[in-house]
Parts: sequence; C-alpha cells; structure tokens
Amino acid sequence: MSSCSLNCPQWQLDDVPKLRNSVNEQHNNPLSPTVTKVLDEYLDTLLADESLGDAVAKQLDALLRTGKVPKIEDIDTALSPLPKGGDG
Amino acid sequence: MIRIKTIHIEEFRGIRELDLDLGGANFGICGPNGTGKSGVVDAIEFCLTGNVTRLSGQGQGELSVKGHAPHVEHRKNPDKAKVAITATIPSLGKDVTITRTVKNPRIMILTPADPAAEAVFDELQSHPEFALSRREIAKYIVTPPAQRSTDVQNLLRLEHIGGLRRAFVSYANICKREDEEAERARKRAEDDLKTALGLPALDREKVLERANAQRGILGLPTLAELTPQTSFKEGAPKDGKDSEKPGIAKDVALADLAALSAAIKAAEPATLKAHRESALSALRKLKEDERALSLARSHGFITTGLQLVTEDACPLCDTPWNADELREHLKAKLLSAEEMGTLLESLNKAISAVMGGIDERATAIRKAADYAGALNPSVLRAELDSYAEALSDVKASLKAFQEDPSKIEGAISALENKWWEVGKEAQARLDETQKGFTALPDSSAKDKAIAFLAVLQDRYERLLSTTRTAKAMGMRNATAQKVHDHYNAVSNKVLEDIYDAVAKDFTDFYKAINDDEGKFVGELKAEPAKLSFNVDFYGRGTFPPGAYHSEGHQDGMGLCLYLALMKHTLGDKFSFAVLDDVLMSVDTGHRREVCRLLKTKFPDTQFILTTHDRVWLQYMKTEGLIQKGQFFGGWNIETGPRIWDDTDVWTEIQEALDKDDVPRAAALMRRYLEYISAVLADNLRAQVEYRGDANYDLGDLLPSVLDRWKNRLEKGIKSAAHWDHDETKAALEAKLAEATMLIQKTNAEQWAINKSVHFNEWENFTRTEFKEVTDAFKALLGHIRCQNPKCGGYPYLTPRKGASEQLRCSCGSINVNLKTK
Ligand SMILES: Nc1ncnc2c1ncn2[C@@H]1O[C@H](COP(=O)(O)OP(=O)(O)OP(=O)(O)O)[C@@H](O)[C@H]1O
Ligand SMILES: [Mg+2]
Ligand SMILES: [Zn+2]
Ligand SMILES: [Zn+2]
Repeated sequence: MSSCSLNCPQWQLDDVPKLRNSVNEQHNNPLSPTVTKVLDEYLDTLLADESLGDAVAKQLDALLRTGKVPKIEDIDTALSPLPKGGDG
Repeated sequence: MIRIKTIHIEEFRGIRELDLDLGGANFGICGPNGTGKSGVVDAIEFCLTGNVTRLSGQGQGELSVKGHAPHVEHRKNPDKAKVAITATIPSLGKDVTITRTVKNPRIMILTPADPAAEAVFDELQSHPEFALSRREIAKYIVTPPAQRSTDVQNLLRLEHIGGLRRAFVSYANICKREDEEAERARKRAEDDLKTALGLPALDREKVLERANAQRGILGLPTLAELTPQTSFKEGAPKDGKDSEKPGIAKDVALADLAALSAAIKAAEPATLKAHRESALSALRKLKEDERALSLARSHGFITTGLQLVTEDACPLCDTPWNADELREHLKAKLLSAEEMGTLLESLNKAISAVMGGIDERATAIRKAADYAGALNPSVLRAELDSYAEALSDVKASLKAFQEDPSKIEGAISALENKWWEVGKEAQARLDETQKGFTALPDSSAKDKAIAFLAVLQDRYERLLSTTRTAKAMGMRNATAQKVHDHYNAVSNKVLEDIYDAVAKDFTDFYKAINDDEGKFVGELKAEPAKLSFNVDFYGRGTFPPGAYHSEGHQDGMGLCLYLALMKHTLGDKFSFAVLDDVLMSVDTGHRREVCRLLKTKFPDTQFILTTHDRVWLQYMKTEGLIQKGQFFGGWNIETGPRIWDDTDVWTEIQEALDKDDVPRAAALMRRYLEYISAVLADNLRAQVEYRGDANYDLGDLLPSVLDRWKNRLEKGIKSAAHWDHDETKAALEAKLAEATMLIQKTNAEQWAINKSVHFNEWENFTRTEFKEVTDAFKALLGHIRCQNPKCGGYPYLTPRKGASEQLRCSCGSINVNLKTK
C-alpha cells in the first residue's frame, strides 16, 4: 500500500479490480480467527449452492485456506471440475 | 503476549542510560514536555518490533530508525543505541530478556533462547499497535471513512479478507471479459456462415436446403438433418479441376468482400460511437484526476490531507495559489473509491464493445487480404495486412488498460483512433480484389458446388467450435460471478458483525467514562471500502465525531475505539499496551472514570501510560490503576532525563533534611501536598473558591479539604446513628477524633491566622521545626488513605453529583454510608 492517505486514487486503484500479475501479494500468515470465520461461513454457502458441485466448493476452500491470496490461475483450476487441457 | 518487568535503555532517542522497573504491572511516566517520556515509549516499541513508528510511519519521509533513533551524539554509531527488556510470558510461565541494537534492528537477541518465546515476540511484532500515541489514536476518529476502513482493517488484521475479495473480483472480471470475447468470436463465426449461405438468419431447414442444392449438383445424397457431425462435403471430390484455387468460392469471396465494403461505407456504427465517446470522456476525467493527484503530491500535502490547504501559498515551495480554488479543484478531481469502481466498470463495458467492433473489422480485413493474395495474378496484400496489424494494436492497448487501469494514455489514444476509416491504399487494394474476383470466369456449376461445400464446411465447424467455447466461457463466468457474490455476501456479513461488536464495546466504554451521557451510541457502518463512524450528539442524531464533539471528547472516543478494536483483535492476548500522552485531553471530571475503565475492563492488560500532568499521575495512583510510576524531572542533551522517584517522596524529603537543605525539603513537600490536595479536593468535593485558571495553591486547597474531611466523617456518624449502627458510629467517632488531633498538629488551620506557621515560611524553618511539620503531614495523609496496604488509595464520594451517599475507596475497605434516609 502506498503512503498516501486521503481519497487518494493511488489507494483506490489498489482497491479496484487488478489483474493477474498484480494479485500476488504474499500472505503466509496463519489465518486469523476472523478470516477463519469468513472462510467457514463461505464454505457453508458454497456447499449450500447446488449449482456448484461439492468437489468444487472443497477445492476452492482448500485453496483459500493456504493463507495466501490465491493467483487467478489457481482459482480457475480450483473451480474447474476437470483438469483443463489447452485453453478450450 | 507479555508483561514487561524491566527496561534498560542506552543512547536511544533523548535517553543516555535509563533503567525502569515496572514489575510487570501498570506503570506511569510523568514529566514536563521534552523530558524523554516518548523516548521510553519508542524504546519499548523498538525493542519489541525493531521499528519506531514515530520515525518510520506515514509521511516521515526523511526520518529513519537507523538515522535518528540513536542519541544525536551517537548518530554515527548505531551499535551504541540499544534497548533490553525483561518480560514475563504468562502463557509460558517464563521470563526472558530481549535485546536489540539500532545497528541490527531486524535481529532480536533472546535470552534464554526459546522457540516458544520467540513465537510470542514474532506475534507481538505483527501487532505494533500495542504502542500508540495520542496522534495515532486520534486518527481512528478523524480520518476520512475510506482511510478509516483501511486503518481499522489493518488493526483488526483483516487485510487478508480484502485480499481475497480483490482476487475474486479480478477473477470474475477476467471471466466476464473472456466470456464476452468468446461470444464475439461466436457471433463472427455465425455472421460468416450467414454471409456464405446468403441467409439473413440461420435456420436449420434453410441451411440444409442450400447445402442439398449444391450436393444435388454433384449428385450426392441429400442430408436429412443438421447435427454437429454433419459433413456437407461428404462424398464430394477433393477439388474442382477448374477452380481458381482450392477452397475459394467466387460467390462466397464476393459476398465477404461486399459485406466488408458495406461495413466500410457505414463508417462507425452508432452504438459503438456512443460507447467509444463515453469511454473516452471517462478516461480523460480519470487522467485529469491523476494529474491533479500528482500535482498535489509534488507539493507534498496530499499525505496530510486537503484540510491543510489553507494557506495562500504552498508551505513547502511558496508557490502562490488560491486556497479555496485549489481545495475545490482537488475535491472535484479526486474521485472516491466507489466512484472509481463504477467508473471502471462502465468503462470496461464500453471498451469491450469497441474492441468487438475493431476485432470484427480486423478479421474481415485479414480475410480480404487472403483473398487478395489468392488471386492470380495476386493483389498486393501488404497494405491490408498493415491495416489489420494497426487494428490489433489498438485492441491490444484497450486490453492492456482493462488489465491495468494505470495504462490510461494508451487507452485514450486507442479510442481517439478512427479505426473504421480505411486508408486510400488499402481501399484501392480492396477494390482491386473485388474487381479481380468479379472478373474471374464463372466456374462450372460442379466446381462451384465443391468450393461452396468446402467453405460451408469450414465455417460450420468454426461456428460449432466457437459456440462450444462460448458456452464453456459462459458457464465459467456464471460460476465466477457466483463465487464472488457469495464471498462478498459472507465477508460483508462477518465484517458487519465485527463492526457491530466493536461499536457496542466502544459505546459501553465511552458511556463508562462519561457516565452522564446515558443515551450515547456509536455506530460503525461498513460500505464497500469505506467505514463510517458516527456517534450520538446529545440526542440530536448521530454524526462523525469531528462534526460537533470537542477535542477532549474525541480523544476519549479515540481511546475507547482503540480499546474496543484491540479487545476484538487480540482478545485475551491483549496483555500489554503503551499509551503515550493518550489521556492528555481527557478532562479532570472524567479521569477517574478512565482509570476505572482501564482497571476494571482490562484487568489483565499491562498499561504503560505517559502524561505531562502530575495530577493525572497522582490520579492513576489514587485510583489504583498504577502502583508505580516514574517522574522525569528535567532533561538535557548531555545527561538525558533526570528522574525523580515519586514513590518515596518522604525519603527524598528526609534526604534533603539530612543535608540540612530545608528549602529543598520544603519545596518538595509543598509540591507533593499540592497534588494530594487537588486529588482530595476533587475526591471529597471540597468547597474551594473557584478560579478560572484552575491555579490553586496549597492555601486554597488544603484547609477546605481538611474541613470537608471532618465534615464527611461527621455525616457518617449521623448516618450510623440514624441506622443504629453503634459499632460503626463508635469507629467513626474515633476516626474523627484522630483527624482533629492530626490536623491540629499540621497547623494548616492556622495558616490564615498565624503568618509564622504559613507554608510560605517553611523554607525558613529550622531542620527540627520542619521535621515536625513533615511528620505531621505524613501521619495525616496516612490517616486519610485506605489502610489496606494493597490499596492505599484516597477515599472519594459517590455519586459524583448531588447528595453524597457513600465515602469509599477503590478496594472497598473504606465504605462509609452517608445516607440518613
Ligand atoms: N535522537 C535523539 N538524540 C538526542 N536527543 C533527542 C533525540 N530524540 C529526541 N531527543 C530529545 O529528547 C528529549 C525528550 O523527547 P521526548 O519526545 O521523549 O519528550 P516527551 O517527554 O515525550 O515530551 P512531550 O511531553 O512533549 O511529548 C527532547 O528534548 C528531544 O528533543
Ligand atoms: Mg512525548
Ligand atoms: Zn509546493
Ligand atoms: Zn482501599
């Protein structure tokens, strides 16, 4: 994060959707209780959504619990029921 | 976490060498401005974290720990500056010493080495908020909602939640764009197939009809149905012998070229024009914003905030400006995070549409170039290729912006580009190509049929595969949006619950320190990337604290919000906090409540508090918040703080007397009695002549205090008599008799009448004479304070307003009923 306070666009850009290469902040910290709570409830919600398979929900959950902000590719893999070949 | 037992500081900040013995308990440091209190606070922070926020925090550009933490005399030898803390780790039942030098701030030396203890310090390091100054605490209160959201989330260790949210947003955006792209490719395939068939819409019957007509010419069997496996050219000979080139049907090529030239004639489609123009103006606004920002930043005030733009010239470089105008300008230019979000979203939509148009044109041009090259003699395709190349560059710039919003310049020039205009040369090549195809002899009906079926096959297969991709992308996108929406809903709910809990604790704490504000409420409201904090103002509604509340109240709120946040973040690990001057502007009426709040709501937290107000320190002691404290009596650059141990003022007075220094002993005692009198006057609600400047001397305070003390004891005797509590009555009568006797010995009641015993004369007393005075006051104060050695506090009246009902001390050993009804 920048050292700017205020309504600084630099800060805002940081909060705005960023892509592939920008989202690789490393957070190796153990999960805080709050994060754990969010993830627990999130898993419940994913499992309750019947349009998403349980396997997908569990893969995504496992990814989020690594304590790192996942890379886009990893989210994609976690959400794909089958390992993908090429870019079909 | 930990509790600090001792601190040893060498050549650090304004301190040369200093040892403090905290004994693992709450501790107060008191001294006038510039005596080294913050130096101690910095030393604690440094030793535990390797960092000094005051030097490395926001906006401290030129300051650094390495450069400025050592005492100025040792600014070249940072190895001389070191701090050692001995601490107890209650969870491990161990004592350890941790040492750090400014030379190697990242290395903490732990003795005895112990991995479990190391883990505790590592955790502490990730919570540097245990040490906060008044200025830092205030920021939670007065900061703009967008910044508060970040600050509070940092304090609550919620960055990870935000990090995950951003990852989901990014993923959802990518999926959405790729879905749109796939859909555009599908649409192009569909259009191509329609052009080849000469059909305005795709219709199974019609497609089969056209295909079968051509198959008929070749004598092939009729196809009965259209399936993904359908092969139109099944059974057809590979190539027509008369055809110009394999695979190119004159009719199809002419249809393609005609469609292209119709598109060129139509110039920029109206919907794309609208999208392009709206995107362009939004981008220009964004860029302005960026310029305003960098302008502001180059003048260095953006970090301190717009509210500082009050002067008529830049405080840094003296460039004159119109403050109002500049402020308005900046305000208008600096978009909020929310606005930025919606802006980018609508921008992306418009840009995607434009990209679709450009893509379509590029594909058509490439196809035309292939046709040009296929003619015999061929038409030069270079111009067409370079037009197609230019189009894909434009598209790439737009795509780059979608992936990284800072690539504004490229996107703006891409949108300024008139992509639909075809250069003269390229147009000439197109015309030549069209002419070339028109001039081709019509091939035999059979050859035509073969070529047609080949093109049909090719385009049909492309439509099938792009449709499959589009479907998969559509599903992926739906999933991405869903997991994103779920995440948002869940995380918002959890955060809201947290904020509600914090706001509730905050409200409780704040009510506890302002017991008259019964209806007070504080609210924390989270909006995306924004956290508003509003508090009740005398029942007139809730407003940001800075709107109507006084600074003292805001300070109180800051402390309460901080405590509520820490309680929530650390729970029972909140075992240690350093509050530097935080209580400064809590007004006299609320000091006791603040002490009690800390003591009762955070009994397991070790507080280290600094203040420059001696009476405040006295309060903390009287209230039993701290047992020990350290006075910093003065400071100079050679020696650092001069410390004065208050815990034993009597010893110090005795030492002065031993040296026959009566004036010093007199000054010490007078100052000490002044604190105590102020405390007692407040505790007992003594009647003192009011002074606007609150500058009361001993003569103003002490006689009234002593009067009031006797009077309250009398009141207690009356009450005991009323309720027939004979034992209590007898005890209080004895206490009153003792009071009368001890007060008499101090001569305090004679001050007004007999000038020769007045405290102003003390310094002229002989050693023996003054010793008598000292003993008398020591005995009197001993008589008033609680006899429980663990408490030793001075009694006070409750409630604080109206008829007093009880005389008590904080441990409850003194507990005198004053009610007669
Ligand atoms: N690195 C240093 N070398 C020498 N002196 C320093 C250094 N840093 C600070 N000082 C001096 O140390 C003295 C104590 O500063 P400190 O900030 O600790 O005071 P304080 O007691 O907290 O005062 P205040 O009540 O105003 O906050 C000041 O005179 C300051 O100028
Ligand atoms: Mg200070
Ligand atoms: Zn300037
Ligand atoms: Zn007591």
